[in-house]
Amino acid sequence: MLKEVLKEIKEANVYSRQQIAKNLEVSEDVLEDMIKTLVRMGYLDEDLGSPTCETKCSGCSVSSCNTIPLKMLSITEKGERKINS
Amino acid sequence: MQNIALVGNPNSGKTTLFNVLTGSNQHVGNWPGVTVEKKEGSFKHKGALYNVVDLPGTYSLGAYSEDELVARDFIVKGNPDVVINVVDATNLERNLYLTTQLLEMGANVVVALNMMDEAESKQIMISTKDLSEALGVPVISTVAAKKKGIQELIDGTLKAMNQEPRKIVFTYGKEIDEEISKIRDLLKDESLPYPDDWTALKLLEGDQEMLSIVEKMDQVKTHLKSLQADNVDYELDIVDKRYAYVNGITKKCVVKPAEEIVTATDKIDRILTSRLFGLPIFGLIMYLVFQLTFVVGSDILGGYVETAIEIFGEFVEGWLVSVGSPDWLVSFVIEGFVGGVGAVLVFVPLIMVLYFFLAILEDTGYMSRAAYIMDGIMRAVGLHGKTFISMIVGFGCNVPGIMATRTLENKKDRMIAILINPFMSCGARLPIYLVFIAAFFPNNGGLVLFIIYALGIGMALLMGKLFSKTLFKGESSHFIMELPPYRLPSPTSVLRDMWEKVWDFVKRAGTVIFAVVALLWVMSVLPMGVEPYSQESILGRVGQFIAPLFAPAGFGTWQASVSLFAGIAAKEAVVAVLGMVYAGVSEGSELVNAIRDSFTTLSAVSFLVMTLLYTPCAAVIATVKKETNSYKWAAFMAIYPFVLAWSLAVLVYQIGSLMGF
Repeated sequence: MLKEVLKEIKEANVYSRQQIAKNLEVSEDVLEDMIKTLVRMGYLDEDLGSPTCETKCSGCSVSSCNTIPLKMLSITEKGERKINS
Repeated sequence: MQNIALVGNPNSGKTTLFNVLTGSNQHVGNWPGVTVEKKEGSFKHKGALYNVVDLPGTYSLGAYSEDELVARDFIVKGNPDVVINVVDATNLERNLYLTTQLLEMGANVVVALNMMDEAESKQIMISTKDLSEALGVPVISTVAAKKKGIQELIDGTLKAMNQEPRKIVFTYGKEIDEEISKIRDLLKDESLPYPDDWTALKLLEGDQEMLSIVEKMDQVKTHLKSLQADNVDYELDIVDKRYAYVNGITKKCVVKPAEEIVTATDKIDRILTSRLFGLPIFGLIMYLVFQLTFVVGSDILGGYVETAIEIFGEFVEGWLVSVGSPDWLVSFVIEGFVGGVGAVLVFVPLIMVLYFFLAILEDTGYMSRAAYIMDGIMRAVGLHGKTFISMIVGFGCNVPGIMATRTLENKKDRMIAILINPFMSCGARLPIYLVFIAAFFPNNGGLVLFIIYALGIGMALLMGKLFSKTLFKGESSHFIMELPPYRLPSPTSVLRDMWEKVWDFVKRAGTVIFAVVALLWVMSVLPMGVEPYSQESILGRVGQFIAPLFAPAGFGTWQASVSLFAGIAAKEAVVAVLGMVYAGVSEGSELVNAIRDSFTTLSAVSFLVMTLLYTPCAAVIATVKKETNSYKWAAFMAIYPFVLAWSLAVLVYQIGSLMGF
């Protein structure tokens, strides 16, 4: 199932938890756990995009820069190898 | 006294069940060596006392957190007579992953299928009989919050205490089963704190705690190293088997109502993020935001701050004169501070309104869609999709924009993202546009502002494309992004977001800009005896020295030149200096009139192009140095935008002049 998650992500344009969960016939929470597991194992790379602004960057004029809540996922080389295996 | 352990996912109702079972007979401490809370209690049943331990809430029994380690250590080493696994019936599939791991460990498990009332209200039907058969352990329905099913759970638990747990034999596939068997054989003569089978399984999963336990067992270590050398990684396959096992059970035992997969968000996204309409709609929304900014910020709110600064300036001037203050102090406060800083502050209403609308877009979830639409364009021109994140952050300030490029792993992608970020028009440049729009395009402010921002994005894409084809060639990797569901904006969140940005702007006007203005004021009145703000002052001489450079762009005056020079310290300083050099107390409409007299429409456009694209502020250059660890790239960052901006400004002015504008 985890390999299927990798394949779904590879083929998707947008990360829709709902759609991937539906395709794999699992709940969204389970899918989220699977993705966390894949990230932990190094098959996926998770990126929250913008800086958090938790600490102010030196010279930054704004303490509240745009922090768009975007989660991005990319497949690592290890993940690619797994998909192709 | 017999021991019962309670284990379950967070929010499964485990602690509620613990409280129901133990009442007030409980105490709280810490697990030895860790900061995880240990809750223990007891209850009496038919004269016998039972000890209950509430283990930390966890989703699995790996070795990735203290909670997981504490829970699994107690189950294996604490030898509880029964482990009550509290399972959230509304989220069975997720909860059963932990159950599977408990069964793997060979624990004597009783499943408390909790929150059954909520599951029923969601029309989730679970066959406890089938579930019990599939898992091989007792499954008892409970609603701990309403104390339902508690007696049945106690009875079932006590019954299980006196029985041998049914051993479930898992299979992880032939290859892994054989490996488990091999490692188990190697472990059989060793004295281990955990069962051999389970230790072997965990070793194949790469469990750090188990690896440290077998550190001195040469045979096991050699075998594991040989697997590593063959590039064998079983962890994913083992976890996969558990998920497949759980998935199979839920399919067999759970009936759920059919879910509506097409949500309102999906329907809206079909239009807002479509290939055909996504970009035009994004453009239209931004145009409307800029247009509304001018209608609300300038036409409705604009006059109040300007009038307040004027009244403040007149009051302070009157007071300073009345107390006999020296001329230089009056000049510094009125012409330097009020004229300079006031010229920046007068645009607070417009900036406030712009950030208000942008905060609404962010809070609804639309800005994520904008990022998605931009991502498509990025890829189309050969840039890494993640570049757009740093670009959008750059609209607030280029310093965090450049910091945001850290998310790009590839150095080439990152260098391009850094080098194009300053073309994203930061908030500090807004007052420049606003003062020139007020002077020359009062009726088309929204459109002009939109064009300025669009030009910045266009130039960033163009330069990005150029860099990716010349300086930094390479392939960009694939990634996908999650778009959050749309929601109604929360007034508190929108107002807080707007306030934080406006307050930052005001703070900067009172600190950095004040310091720059103070320095430039000194330069404008020295050497002693010269006419303040004249060509003979140090400031005037610096301006005169630079001015010929800008003559081909149509703004070769010492005032315009020196304001651009000051803008390298901080972009707000451009307007502050214009406010100061154009006759002192010239904030608001007076400054606008002075600019209208000193520029033509064409030279104003050329000046706007220059300020949009030229050398970023000192903080940005310093950030480039820090992020690239290279003076060379910091110098490049200072020079290439200037050359580009100057060339474009000259082009605009010369072509415009030839066309008769």
